[in-house]
Amino acid sequence: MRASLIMAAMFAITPLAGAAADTPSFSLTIRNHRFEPAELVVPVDQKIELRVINQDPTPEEFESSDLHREKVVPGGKQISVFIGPLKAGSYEFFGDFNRATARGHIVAK
Amino acid sequence: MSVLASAATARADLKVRMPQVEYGELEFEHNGLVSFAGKNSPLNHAQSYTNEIGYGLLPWWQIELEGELASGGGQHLTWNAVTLENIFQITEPGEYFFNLGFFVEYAQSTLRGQPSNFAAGPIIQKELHNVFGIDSLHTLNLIFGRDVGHDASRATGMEIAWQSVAQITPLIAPGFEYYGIIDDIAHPGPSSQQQHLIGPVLTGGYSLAPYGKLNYEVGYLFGLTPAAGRGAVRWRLEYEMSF
Repeated sequence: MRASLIMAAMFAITPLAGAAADTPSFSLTIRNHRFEPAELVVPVDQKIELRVINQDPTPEEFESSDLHREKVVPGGKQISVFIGPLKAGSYEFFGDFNRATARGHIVAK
Repeated sequence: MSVLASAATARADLKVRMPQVEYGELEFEHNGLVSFAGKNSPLNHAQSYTNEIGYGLLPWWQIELEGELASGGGQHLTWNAVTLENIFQITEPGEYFFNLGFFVEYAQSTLRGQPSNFAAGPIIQKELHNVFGIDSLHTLNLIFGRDVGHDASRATGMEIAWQSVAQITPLIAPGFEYYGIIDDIAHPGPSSQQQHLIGPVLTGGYSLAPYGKLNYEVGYLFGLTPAAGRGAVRWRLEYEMSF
């Protein structure tokens, strides 16, 4: 009984996460193992949602050391990646499976 | 066998679990832990090791199968348990104020007459950006466990695991960890009978693209209570590859 109450309390933490409503969204498309656009301008000091759409039939991994994000995008699918709030500057990203061609950067200004 | 682990055994699964699931990713993981304590303590030179294979079955569900070997000081290693671990990703990283996940594990004892164990609990993570010019990652696991099966005790145990690291480069992220183990939260007893350990940790990863990625963690934990022994060295090596 006591364990059940503790578990319930732990689940109750979830609302503390807060809502992510009104997060501006930007799209990146993977086509022929390249990101389009290769440069994406986003606002500073604001959390943003990146929708990464993979139009290739093969998977790609969206990865950025600057943004501390890595996530696989299956072929023909899309994912969401939440980043920021960012300070003004340039943040590199790349496709881990096609590093030679799949490269780009986000410019926050 | 994470929670309710006997003080007489080492605890290779003293590790901080992350709330993220990598969909379609196959991983092989090795964890090791060697404890140090007074000469006559069963914790002195006690060892435990886990070897795991995991897969991101769904964008929000990762499953791992683990084998656990352990020994008390001066004893032979024995195969203690086969464990099925699940991590459920509840939120996308950065989507909300906290990143949330949930951990569920069943450990089937392979030792005659020993109980198996069920454990579960939340994984709570906070990313801090650009504090004094440094990004950092803070992760808390609150895992509750209970023995099941043969000779199971009626106690509910709790394991607290905390890790904070500064994300300086992908290869090197230093920080610290804290672990607290209470065998029975209804009767926690004096703190001297609980296991509390804290110490530095170094984490990082190296990309072998397109052939996957190697991740590591290595840390030393100082025992804060007599039941935790003098300290322990722990390590984790992981190879991950997406399909």
